[in-house]
Amino acid sequence: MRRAGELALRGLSSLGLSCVLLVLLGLLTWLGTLEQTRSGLYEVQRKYFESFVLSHDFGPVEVPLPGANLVMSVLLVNLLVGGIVRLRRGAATVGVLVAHSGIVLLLASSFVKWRHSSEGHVTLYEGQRATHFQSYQRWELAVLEVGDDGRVLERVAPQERYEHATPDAPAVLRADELPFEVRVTHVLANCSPLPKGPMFDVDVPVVDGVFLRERARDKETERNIAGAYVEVRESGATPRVGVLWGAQSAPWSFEVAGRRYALDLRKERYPLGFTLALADFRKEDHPRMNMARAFESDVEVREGAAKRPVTISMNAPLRTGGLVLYQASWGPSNARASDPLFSTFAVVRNPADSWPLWSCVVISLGLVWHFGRMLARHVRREVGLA
Amino acid sequence: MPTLPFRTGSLLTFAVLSLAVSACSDRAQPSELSAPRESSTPAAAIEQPRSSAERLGVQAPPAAAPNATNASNGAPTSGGNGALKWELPAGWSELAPTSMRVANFRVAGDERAECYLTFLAGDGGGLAANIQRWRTQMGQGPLSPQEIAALPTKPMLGGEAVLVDFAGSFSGMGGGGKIEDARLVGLLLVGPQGAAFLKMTGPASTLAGQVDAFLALAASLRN
Amino acid sequence: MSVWLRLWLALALSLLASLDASAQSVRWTPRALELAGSLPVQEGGRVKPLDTFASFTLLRLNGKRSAEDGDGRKLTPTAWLLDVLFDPEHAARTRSFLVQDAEALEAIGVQLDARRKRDRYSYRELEPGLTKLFDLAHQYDAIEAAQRSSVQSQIVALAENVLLFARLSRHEIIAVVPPPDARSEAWNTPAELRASSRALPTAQAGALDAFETAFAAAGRGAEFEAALERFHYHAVVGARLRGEYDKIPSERAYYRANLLRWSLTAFLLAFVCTALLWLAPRRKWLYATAAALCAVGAALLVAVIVWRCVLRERPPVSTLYETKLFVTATGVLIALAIEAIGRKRLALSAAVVLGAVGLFVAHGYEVLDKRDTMPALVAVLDTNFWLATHVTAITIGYAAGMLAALLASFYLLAKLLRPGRLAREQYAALSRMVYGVLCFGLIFSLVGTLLGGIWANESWGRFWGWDPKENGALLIVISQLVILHARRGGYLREHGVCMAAAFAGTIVAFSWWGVNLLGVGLHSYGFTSGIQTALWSYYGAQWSICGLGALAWLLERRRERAARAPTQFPAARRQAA
Repeated sequence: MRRAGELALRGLSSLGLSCVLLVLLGLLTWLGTLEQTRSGLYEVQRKYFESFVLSHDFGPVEVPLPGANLVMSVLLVNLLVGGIVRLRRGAATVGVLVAHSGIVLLLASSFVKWRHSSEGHVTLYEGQRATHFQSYQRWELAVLEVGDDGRVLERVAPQERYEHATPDAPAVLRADELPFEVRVTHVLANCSPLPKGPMFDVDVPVVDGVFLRERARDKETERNIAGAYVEVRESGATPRVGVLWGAQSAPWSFEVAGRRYALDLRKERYPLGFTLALADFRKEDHPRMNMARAFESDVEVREGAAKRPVTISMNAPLRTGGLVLYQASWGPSNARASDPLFSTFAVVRNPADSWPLWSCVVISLGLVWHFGRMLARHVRREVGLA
Repeated sequence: MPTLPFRTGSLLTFAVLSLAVSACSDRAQPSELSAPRESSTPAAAIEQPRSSAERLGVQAPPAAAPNATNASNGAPTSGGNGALKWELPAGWSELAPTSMRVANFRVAGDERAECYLTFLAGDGGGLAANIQRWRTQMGQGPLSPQEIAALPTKPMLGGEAVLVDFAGSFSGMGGGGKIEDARLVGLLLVGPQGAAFLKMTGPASTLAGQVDAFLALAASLRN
Repeated sequence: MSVWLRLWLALALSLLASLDASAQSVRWTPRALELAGSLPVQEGGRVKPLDTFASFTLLRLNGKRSAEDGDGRKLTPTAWLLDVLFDPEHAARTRSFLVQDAEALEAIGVQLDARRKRDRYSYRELEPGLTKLFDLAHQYDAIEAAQRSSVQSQIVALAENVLLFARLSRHEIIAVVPPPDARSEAWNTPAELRASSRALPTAQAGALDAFETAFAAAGRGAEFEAALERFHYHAVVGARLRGEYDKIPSERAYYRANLLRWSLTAFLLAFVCTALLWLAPRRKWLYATAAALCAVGAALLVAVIVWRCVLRERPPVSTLYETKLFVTATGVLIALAIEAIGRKRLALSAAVVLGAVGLFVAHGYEVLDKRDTMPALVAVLDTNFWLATHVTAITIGYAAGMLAALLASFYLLAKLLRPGRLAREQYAALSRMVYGVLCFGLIFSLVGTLLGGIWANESWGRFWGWDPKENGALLIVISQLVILHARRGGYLREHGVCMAAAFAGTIVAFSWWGVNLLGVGLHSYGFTSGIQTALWSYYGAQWSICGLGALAWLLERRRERAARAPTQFPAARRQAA
């Protein structure tokens, strides 16, 4: 038993394992790069880089591969055991030890980012304000309730909870305080609403003469507009069927037990924790060219009664309350000189935001120390020979 | 030292477990919604119940008006849709309008030949952009500004609309089948109150005999 | 003897005659060419000398920086542009359009003279086919660029070029008149001023008047010169007042000095010396000459890079073209440094090859791309500390990777072709160099990649986005890490490290150029469709070298076994006995 542990430890800490894992990571990176000519970045990321196993289509054959998450997890162990704990200590390995610690920090930061970050955007026209930001890709189903005081409460279900629902296996969403449960019966990843004409039949429910038609999925996930059919079931009443679409102008609203509720299918929303108002957006083109040289936005951050004006520009984001807001883009792209423009901010909440910078410093120090030492020795030897 | 294998083992176990969990989440079980929080959706947006068609931006289907499809066989017949009136050319038939199509026709001679009128707010993206969009639908490259400036005009809705006439292979919106040897005849009127586009597409052989009817229809449109 | 002498004389005379024809434009006086060449023009988001504008425009249309007019005279870009602007009739007869493929001409119905096997045509010659040309170009334009056939893309390009030519001759596009109002950034073309319905500001009216006078006086030497002088005065004063003229003389000097050509010449001469050095290794003076020439080439190249930085007020690497210059310079300098430490001729040879090939490729890219190599940049590439450092570091990493691949290829080829010619220690030294360069490269690749992430985090809020260019950088880092760890673990020795490094060269090439050809992601900037062939040739060459390296390894093992066999045999027999 002791011996088996020793063997496993030696295997886990071996340089051979490091090489195999690095080659695997390289292979995944390469395949994931080439795959981007076929699928969108979001899909590729999920399949190759945030997975534990995957199956890559090499044309004639499908080959199962470990996902980058698995490879990096094992690499982290390999690095901790072999590259730090079991590394021979001495002046010769100080640099290596430091560089390896930097890599550990880097892997840790990527793990924290993967588990605990949210990303999205806020898009505002001048004069508009927002209290939340929303995901580029992810959809959520929200149950809205108008309270007695006129305020609106919401309960949400993330995409994973309902995206596989079918009429035979609907996704059931509920909450103790709600007098009904919601059954999601159909989910369409990309669709558009159409009026149902008399000349054709459809295999999805028709609500108020309207149905959702499935469309081919776009390569870029963020361009798809999702849709869903839902049933609202309260005990003792016939279920009510509603149709939800990602680009609908208003949620589907209904009444249960004298209280007004609504269901909304929308991009996942995250509260900002403050109110963001866009005061002014400026864009400057290169002369005689249709190419932006710079763009920036004057915004106001309102927290309670406190107001704070900030200018966000390219390469100069706003960091506040654990969030970072970046000037990401603007539009509409075909706007004429007099048209109002909107400004889009990418918003990221990432607890490991500054870790890569530290790991970069640590790694640089380690590498420069280690290789500098080697170079000095080499030069001394060569010069000594000559 | 002896604790290390355990720690690595637990990490691996974690990896395998999370894999298993992600692979077989049980859908039959009801899942709890998140705890309530204050919404950024205003109460006004949900207080008024609205029909699905209205919420989804789709013109209500003609369920209430079963004979919305009225075909004309002989001479032009008068037709209309709300405020809009027109003379339906011989052999053409009216189709139910949609959210985009204020007036919607089937052109005589071929199922695939259609003609419709759309209104867009503002300048609808501009004359040139719409012409280029239609060029693209016909599989053609864009016209130069000079070429656009040289296009002829025809009367429509009290203005002078720009007439375009392209041949090519048509692949329109909605992916409703591609017409190889197709033709597109269109009138674009971009004015201060908005933009109106009357567009006829279909097989070139069918449309060849329908251009005059199309122009007559355009001239007959009135508010 | 007299025959040789006469031949020499004839050759010299003809050379002189050709020089004369190329240097002199009979139609425009030297003074006029000088005035025109130093005019400031606003194009591509910056103000540049008309010389530069003319040179890249002609390169774009004609595939080279000269054109032959109707009378068989060779025109410089500026003389050609003067024709287009002031004597369109003459310009229409100048062969200004490169048509690679006769099929394209047939497609637009231009009659070919079977005897004339030219690939350059004048506007007049193309004129009968223009309607058809534009018709086809519209059709093909609807096809995505990557899906077009060669003839289709040529037709689209030709149509664009003809349109550009026509618009230039109508005095559009060429924004040579600075606005007097400091708030307005856009310069004006003569055509715009002419069409303006409002009264022009005095300065612009004066400039336009001078331009029109020059146009009317085209062909009448002194009179034209005087008018052009007046226009030049307006334009230059206007530009100076706006503070946009400062860099014009320096940029002209940059292109006139043509330091890159001198640098290439130095590398080529050094290459010859190095080749001789391998034949006669004991000649000290040959070594010194080769090293000096290589150093001169490197110094000139560095001067070019610095000059460009000063001209554009930007860090050394901001475009794909500049990566070529920078990689070449860095690679050569690293190799020279190694040579300075070891003095084994090997690194010097690598420096020379890298310098010559790198500059050839850079020149080839400039001709293929046909666009100003100092363009305006999109907003996100606006100068920024992290941007500058990460691009520079990664590019140094590329240089190290390429140099390591080159040294490794030397090793493998030497093993295969000339076994025994190099001493055992020389192989070991070469392999150590490869290793050393890889270590050096790893620092820059790794730190550069991280800095890139930090920049992305500062600019867009994500450290790592699995974008193709980021992945490419990561692949380089991983390849170098694998080699170093495999060497440490004893999985790769001398030969193995060299084979892996030769292969890793293709990973560098993939990251540097290959990912841009994929046409996806944030970094797919730059014109790259013509690069495909070059890239695949490099892949092919490196992979074959790896294959040959494997062959050399097998052969070596067989030789070693054969050498060991006789000594082992008796021992075995004795044991059996």
